[in-house]
Amino acid sequence: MIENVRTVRAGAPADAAGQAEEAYLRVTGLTRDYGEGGVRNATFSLRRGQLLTLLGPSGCGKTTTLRCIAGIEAPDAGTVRLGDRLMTSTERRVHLRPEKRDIGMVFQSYALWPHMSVFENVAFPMRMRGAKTAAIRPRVEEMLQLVGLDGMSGRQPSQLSGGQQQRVALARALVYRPGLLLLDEPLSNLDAARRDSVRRDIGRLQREMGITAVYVTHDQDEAMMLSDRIVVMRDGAIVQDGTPGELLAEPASLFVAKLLGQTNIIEGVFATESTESDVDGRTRRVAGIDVAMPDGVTRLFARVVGDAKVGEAVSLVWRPGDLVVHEAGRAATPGNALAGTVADVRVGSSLTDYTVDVGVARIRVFALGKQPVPAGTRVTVSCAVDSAICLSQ
Amino acid sequence: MLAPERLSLTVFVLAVVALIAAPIAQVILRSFQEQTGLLKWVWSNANYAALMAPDVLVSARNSLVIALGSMAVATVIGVLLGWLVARTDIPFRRTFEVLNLVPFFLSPLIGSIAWTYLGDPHAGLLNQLARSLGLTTGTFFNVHSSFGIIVVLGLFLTPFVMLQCGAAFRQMDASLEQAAQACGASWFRTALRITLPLAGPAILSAAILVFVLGIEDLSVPLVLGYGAGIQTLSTRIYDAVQIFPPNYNFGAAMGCVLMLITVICLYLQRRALRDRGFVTVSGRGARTETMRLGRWRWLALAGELAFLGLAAVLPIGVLAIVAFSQGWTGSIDLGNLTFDNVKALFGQGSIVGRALANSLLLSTVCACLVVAISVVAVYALERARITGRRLFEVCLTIPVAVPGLVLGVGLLTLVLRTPLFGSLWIIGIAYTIRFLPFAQRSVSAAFLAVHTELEEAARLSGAGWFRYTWRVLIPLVRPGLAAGWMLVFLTFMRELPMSALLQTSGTQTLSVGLLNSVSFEPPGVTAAFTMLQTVVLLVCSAGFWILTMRRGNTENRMAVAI
Repeated sequence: MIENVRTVRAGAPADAAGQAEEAYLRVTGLTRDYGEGGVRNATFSLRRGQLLTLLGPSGCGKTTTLRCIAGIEAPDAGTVRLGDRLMTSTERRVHLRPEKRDIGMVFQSYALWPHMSVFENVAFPMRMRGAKTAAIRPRVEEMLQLVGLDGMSGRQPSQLSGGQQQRVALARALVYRPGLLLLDEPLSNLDAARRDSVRRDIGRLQREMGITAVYVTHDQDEAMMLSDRIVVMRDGAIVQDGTPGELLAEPASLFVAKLLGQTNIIEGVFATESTESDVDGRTRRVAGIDVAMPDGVTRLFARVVGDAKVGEAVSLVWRPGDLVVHEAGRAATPGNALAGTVADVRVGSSLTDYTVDVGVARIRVFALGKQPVPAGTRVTVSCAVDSAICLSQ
Repeated sequence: MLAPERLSLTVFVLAVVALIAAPIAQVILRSFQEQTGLLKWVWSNANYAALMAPDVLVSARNSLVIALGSMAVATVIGVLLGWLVARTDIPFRRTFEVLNLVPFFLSPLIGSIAWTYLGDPHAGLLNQLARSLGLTTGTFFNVHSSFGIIVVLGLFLTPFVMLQCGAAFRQMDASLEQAAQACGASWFRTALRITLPLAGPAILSAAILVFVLGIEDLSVPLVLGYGAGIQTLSTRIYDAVQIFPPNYNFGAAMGCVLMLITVICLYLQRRALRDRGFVTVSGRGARTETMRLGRWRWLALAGELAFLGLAAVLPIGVLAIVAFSQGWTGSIDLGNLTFDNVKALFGQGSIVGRALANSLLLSTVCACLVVAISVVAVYALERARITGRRLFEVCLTIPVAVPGLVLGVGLLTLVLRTPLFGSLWIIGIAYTIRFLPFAQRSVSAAFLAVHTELEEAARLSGAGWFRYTWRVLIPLVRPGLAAGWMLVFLTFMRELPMSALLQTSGTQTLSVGLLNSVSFEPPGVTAAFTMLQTVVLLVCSAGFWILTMRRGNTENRMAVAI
């Protein structure tokens, strides 16, 4: 199931040539073959000071890719280059040991050494680099302060909470200002509240220190909020590479669209095509999609992403946050809408989560409304044409 | 829990504890008795006073030197090899994982006999070789010395350290080491600053265990040192009981000293393991990648091969040569091969057939017995939770701290004037008592893996105690029980000290027959006998290996049990 690799570059002419010139981390043709979790021919690059996320379901090869960059695993083929240093090249038989790569790494399991204090953990990389004891202490204390752990340097790792342990791990990885920071699902062992605050700290430190970072996760929210660039992987191959905005606006496939968060997928047939221009003067294709409803065919409109053609079966993607629920008969029926019945309402602290049964599908809607429409009400669910996406199946 | 059930379980455990306590109490009592006539005795501390005799003190010093030396050898080699196969990319590591256990299965007895053919100052193959190569005109390596005993004992105790430390290395979260490497530490510094300190408690505990095994070992000092006049506490105990007229009371006093040393060591071992808390079982993020050694791989390979050479290949090789040679003079003469030695083994007047039958019978029956007792005891203590379980638990582990020789002296003096004396039964009882804690550890590990909720669910479904045990519990713990069974079976097949003390003509086991053969048979026949024992042990071990391999990690199973 190899999908087309599409590099979407919307907006400014951030072209291939320009990016390659400035690229700081360059991974070319990386292949590591061992069935599930392996990676095939991965190529991507990253500019200095940016954070790139490898995003995908478990077993897609993202962690393997990261470990090959770290030098913990040796790829079967490919090149890894950091700045002007060649880290790995199977062609030239180069494979630098991890300790020679000038990298920092944060592990899912924190990997703090239980026989060393917090201070010793953070000081370790500096000691390995032969730093003088006098130089180590202020640097370690400063780093601990940066991650919000000042005064904790005498503690043992086992005396810290999970979030604090991961902060120590972060401090340890950053203390010597490595050329590249690697993070392997650093938040997945933390509970929701800590996850949020550690994530903010990772983002803040990465930007403040101007560190180049590669981040591995299967959580789309983390990826969206932290990344300058996201590389989506599936079954060992890269399926899309772009900014979070690009991925949201122009997912290369249904897989990517689904991966980036809750989606409603409605099956239909590409019936008509028109071309429109937006405010910036760019043109876009708009599809009229015929959806078979219990009481006849309804035509819905959506932006065409990719190369879907008239006559094909297509998927219409509606994101829950883009949808609006109207009580039937209350106001004028909006366009681009489906009629249905509210099947379930869950009122959260900031959003109301509706499930609307429209006959052919159950549509999730996240609405801001303070006075929710009760279950059983006849409603219509509508989506702006701009937000709706039409993708080949 | 119904009352009759608890009552019968309590009675059963009490009976087992009594069985354990009787010979130990007997040894202690005997050590304070002085024989004044055939059946008359008085309380006295004469035995302990006799311990101060210069020759006894020399033996005690020998024991200490040999135990410490072999501990050093076994710990250094064992930690290195354990780390190499568990943690690094040494070539053929899976193969070595298996092969490194061969010395464990061979036993120190076989090892020391084989090494007499390698390291004898005159006829030893290595010395002959060294002389013919012009390396030396005298002796290159004399195995009949304290140093020789230390080396041989150390080599054959190495697998114990390797198993325990290997388990610790394997359980360690690999990302702890990878983090160090990412921080700029080379593999050497990672091993030194991260891996070793983390495995520290496990290494210390393994070292203490090996010290205990070394100080109570009878076979190596007896085979290698006895002729050269090197006596240890264990050979002295053996002498006190075996040489006519026997002085059981003095043997008991020395046994008590040995037991005291063992108890202290095992207490220290427990303490070392108490701080083991931070050898963490890997989280879900961790994988078991190995550390790349680079150029050092080949040095590691050379070291690994050297160990296997000294502890398996050379010994087995020389045994084969001697067994098929017509008279061993220290040189290999391929034109002079013969089957005479093998024929002699099964010929007229040979006890080999009988010994083999005895060993197989004893080992099979006792392995079943000891596992069965363990199952009931573990059930009583951990599931039925009978009153006083804490105390019983301690009582049931006591035999761990009682050297086989000491238990042998106790049992021997208990049954001297009963029909049990001179029967296979008494050897069987000795095996059962001595190795009950080891079987119990395997069984209890197997039981701990089965959640109590499974029993509660079965009870709620209407199954009684018996039906639950038979239909739910036994099938679930069977693989663990089978591994435990095989392990004690293998131990029984090799057991020497108790079998040697409790034997009479007709109740010799393979090991005892072998030991006698060293003194009374020509080298060729002894070598053939040793080869036979080697083959028997390796076949049984292969059986154990195949049985446990399907169920997962053999090393971990063994590490739990020893």
